[in-house]
Amino acid sequence: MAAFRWRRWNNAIHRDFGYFFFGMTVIYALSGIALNHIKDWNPNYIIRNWETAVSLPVTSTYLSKDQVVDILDQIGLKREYKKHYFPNPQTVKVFLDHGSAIIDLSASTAFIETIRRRPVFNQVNFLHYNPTRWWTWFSDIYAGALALLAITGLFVLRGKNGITRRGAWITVAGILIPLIFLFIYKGKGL
Amino acid sequence: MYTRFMFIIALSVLLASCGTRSDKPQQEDISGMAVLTVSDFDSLAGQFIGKEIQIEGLVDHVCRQSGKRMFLVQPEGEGRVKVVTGETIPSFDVALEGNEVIVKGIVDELRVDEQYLAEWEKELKDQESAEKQEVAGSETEGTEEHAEGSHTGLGEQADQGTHNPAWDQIAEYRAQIAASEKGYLSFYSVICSEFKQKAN
Repeated sequence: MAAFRWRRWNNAIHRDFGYFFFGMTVIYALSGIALNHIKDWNPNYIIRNWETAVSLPVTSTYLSKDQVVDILDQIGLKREYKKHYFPNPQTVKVFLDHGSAIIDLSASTAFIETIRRRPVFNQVNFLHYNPTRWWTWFSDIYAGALALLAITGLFVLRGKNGITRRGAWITVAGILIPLIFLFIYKGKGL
Repeated sequence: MYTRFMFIIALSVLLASCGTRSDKPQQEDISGMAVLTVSDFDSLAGQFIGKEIQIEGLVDHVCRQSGKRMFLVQPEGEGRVKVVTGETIPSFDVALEGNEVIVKGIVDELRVDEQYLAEWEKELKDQESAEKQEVAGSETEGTEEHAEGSHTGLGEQADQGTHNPAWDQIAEYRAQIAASEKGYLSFYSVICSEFKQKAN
């Protein structure tokens, strides 16, 4: 009986799983970076805010759709009108196709917020948040595959660059980094 | 042998995915449950905690960061209802703002009492102290953003869409608790299981 050629299987699994999960790895790498920095930016949307003076109709206690559209025309957002309502007698909130405008009737000012989906990041973040049960299953399979890729990756090469020599040192260095962080920060009780 | 092995795996994945297509049919008609309005939600929600209701309203705001919360209003009335995503809804899109929606979900109550506020304050202090260390370490600016400090776990739960700085919000809740007979504040929300846009 021929000997089981485990390294051939190991390399084949590593290669084909690597190909198959390439897309998932890019998705989780991009969304991971985006969500790591969620305090510093909004990865899902590009948001712009500004305030500007607007001229209002003489009787501005009630504004019709046409009057609101005229105000939006002053700030170049005429075609963006979606709907408006009065949260209070002094304020009109206008919903735009890509954002909103809050018009202060007493100050004759408009606070505008425009929102656009951030390309690529919006989509990969959506997937990162596990949109359906089936995606959760698939991402669990991916997580398992990552572990398998890591393990099989250790045994791809033989010789001086293999796991018994140079590879061992690099692997240990990679394990030490999280351990050092754990030691420093867990030690501080964080 | 390897090719055969990979073929079996690929076939299994394909068969498994075919078997999952028979998902539950979408229910178009959401009837047979209490239908509340935005205006009467706060006064009636206490009777429906843990129960499924239906509510209609205009989407006034969707959380920009996570999309996990949206707020419904009634243009001609009072009130504001917080709707959070349930297990079946990954997030709400900001494009929903300005649209009328029909939401089906479970009424949830968040009780904010003195103990809740004390824990929230502790979270904020811990967060601020960690941020001070980071700022000192990196010598970067950004204290203006840190001053808000409202995105802690308890702060997000208690968020009613006002976007007040967290310390101001805590002070306001504390004053409201002191003025209340119950000794706590009840905030009701709807955990959304299903929603659809109304035809304009």
